[in-house]
Amino acid sequence: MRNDALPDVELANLVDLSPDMLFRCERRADGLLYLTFSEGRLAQTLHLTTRENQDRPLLDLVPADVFERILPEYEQCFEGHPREFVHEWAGRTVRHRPQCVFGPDQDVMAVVGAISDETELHRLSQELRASEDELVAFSYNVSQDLRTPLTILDSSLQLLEERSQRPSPEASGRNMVRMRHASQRMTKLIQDLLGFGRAARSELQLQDIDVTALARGVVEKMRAQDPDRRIDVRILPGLTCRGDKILVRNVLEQLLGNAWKYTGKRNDARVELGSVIRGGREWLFVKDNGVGFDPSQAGRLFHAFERLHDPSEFEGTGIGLATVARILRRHGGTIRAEAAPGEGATFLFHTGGSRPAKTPAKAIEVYA
Amino acid sequence: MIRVLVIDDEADIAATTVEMLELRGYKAAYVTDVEGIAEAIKRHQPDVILQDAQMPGLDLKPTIIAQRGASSKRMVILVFTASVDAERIWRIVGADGFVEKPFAFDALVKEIESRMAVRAMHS
Repeated sequence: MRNDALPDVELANLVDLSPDMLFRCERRADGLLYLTFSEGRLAQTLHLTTRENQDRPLLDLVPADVFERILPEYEQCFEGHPREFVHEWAGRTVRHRPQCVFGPDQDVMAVVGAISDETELHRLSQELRASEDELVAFSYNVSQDLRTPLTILDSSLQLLEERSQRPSPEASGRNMVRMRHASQRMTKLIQDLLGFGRAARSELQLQDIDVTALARGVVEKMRAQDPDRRIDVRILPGLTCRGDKILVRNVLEQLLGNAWKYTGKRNDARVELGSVIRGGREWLFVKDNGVGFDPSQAGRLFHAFERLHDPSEFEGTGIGLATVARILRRHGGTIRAEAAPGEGATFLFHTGGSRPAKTPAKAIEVYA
Repeated sequence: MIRVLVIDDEADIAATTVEMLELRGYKAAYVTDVEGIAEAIKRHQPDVILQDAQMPGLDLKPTIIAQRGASSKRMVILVFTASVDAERIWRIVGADGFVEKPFAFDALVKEIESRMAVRAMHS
């Protein structure tokens, strides 16, 4: 760079604007490395500006672990073999990009370069890798879960084919029932997968929701689909929340549907939707007296494809609660589960926001 | 008659597989829970086991070791799986081969026959 093109004072200002630390390092007669120039934002953050260095050797300027890490690299630079490297520096991830400054007889007079703060980049790339792993695991699970009903369909069809010369009405009927059941299972899995995707992507249309009315509609639908089921459903009047109506309906369908399912073995099945004040906010809850679950496994409930119950005992795709958690998270809310095996389950949730907690019409303590 | 035991928690998969094996001239039975495996081996005395790789409460490798100890016969044990990495796991868990679900009946029968032939060569 020609000096007349950029006056020194402007160059200094320009260097100050750099997010990196720009530096020059030399080896003095005492054999030690010194920073003779060190400016830019990262130098300011690390308190390594030229003014702060006060002509002390690098050894005294940087933490011992950093010095040990970078010394061999800079030894290499002074041998004429500079290379980029990345390391941890006081909780940051930094990248060094050194270059040699050669003297008249091709010896290395100094090393200059830039050090960049890549902490954020590093964090984001780790996050990306984790979400990539999650995606791989997810598609792996989907393919596996689709293969089960597909196997039943395929095997039943092969059986029908094998028996086509000597058909047996009884065997044909059996295989057709299996096929129908398997295709319904696949349909349900595909529907649930679509719901899980929609929970993450659709735009939220926020409004004040009459949760009581919405829940009554959901229960009416369940009763219509399963008219013989005797179940006592209690919905507290006056429940409200702010959220996307379609997605909140999904949440209620899932939670009330689970309560419906997991109380299936009781003659005195009871499901309750209410609200409770916890930590100064109003939570809605769905409580049942069904089979419950092991509370030490509660964290797994909200992960896709995690199932705490044997599929032969209770059908399900393992996606429903993951979808619920995702919907509530998108609203800025959350869900948690409380239970004991054989003593029913309670799911407490809210849709976020800073609504003041109003006193519920009837205070119900949940496993307090 | 070659005796086959199908171990799978999906009753419809187990039942269709058994029906198919019977049509092809095998003597077949199935069990759908891990707890019932030992009893089923004792009762059915299988020459071949088709063991589902993912059942609730199943630890595949110790289960296969236990199966080998539960019978005086040198059984052919095939991992029966919907998992995509069957090819990688079947040796590790000590099985004799694997059958990927969904499967063609002909392919299953061929796999059983070829593994039975290998067993006969070694005994």
